[in-house]
Amino acid sequence: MAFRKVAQFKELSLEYVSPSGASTFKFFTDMPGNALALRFTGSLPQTNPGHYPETTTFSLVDGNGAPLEGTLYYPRVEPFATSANGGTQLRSGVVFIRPIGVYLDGSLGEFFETMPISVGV
Amino acid sequence: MEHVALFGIIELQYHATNGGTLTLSTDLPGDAMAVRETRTLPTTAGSRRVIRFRLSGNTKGRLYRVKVVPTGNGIIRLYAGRIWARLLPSPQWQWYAIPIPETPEEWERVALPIPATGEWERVALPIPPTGDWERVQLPIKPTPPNPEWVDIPVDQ
Repeated sequence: MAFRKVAQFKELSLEYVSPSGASTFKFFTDMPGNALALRFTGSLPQTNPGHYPETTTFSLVDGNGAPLEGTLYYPRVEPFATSANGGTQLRSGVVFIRPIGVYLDGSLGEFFETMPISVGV
Repeated sequence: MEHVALFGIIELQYHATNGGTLTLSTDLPGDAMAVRETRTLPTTAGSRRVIRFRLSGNTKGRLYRVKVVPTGNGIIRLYAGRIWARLLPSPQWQWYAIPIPETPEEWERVALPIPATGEWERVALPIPPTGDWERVQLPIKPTPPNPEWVDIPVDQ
């Protein structure tokens, strides 16, 4: 029986300020392979010189267009190399996830099995 | 009293990267759970699919159990399932849901743990305050109201 709860990741939005240049966004999950690894890299475009926050949304899909999956995840933001007009500010962020009811990994010997069920009493 | 059910069809909604095996166990005949039906789940192309297996026609039991196992190192995402059965001696067939944990259709919004940026806050600068008007006496020697005798220095 599988005990892990695997989630699918659809998209992630960041509200940020990056007036000196484009920043880099990275998204790590532990699947496939059961080890946290980089699964997605995106660019946060340079924002306005007035330092007003802007929002960018990333579609978290793999090379086949399927949503990324994992039991663990973490996002990472790397600022523009120089900060002549100011550094990168993160104001807020949100990720859209959906847990999969039953996820079976054959390499781990997982299976699904119900209890003995009575149809009618 | 538990009724004996006759099982006709089993249906699964799943996604398999390398196929799998579905087994259906019941407790009849023999009053012991045993595998009565085994079916191969084919690999699905890209996304989930619905598959329906017609059973042998005489598969029956008071209890049933469903087991799904991936083939090799494959992955199976199991979304839903149901079984077509009728309770003997009733002639009425109907679907019974197999208790598979649900996968929600909706995406859930999860906020990232980014410390919030607050509203504008009033902070006083360290400038000493300017006080009210203050009375300050000028250094002018007062003129007495009446003449005063003053000794004139005369040679003796």
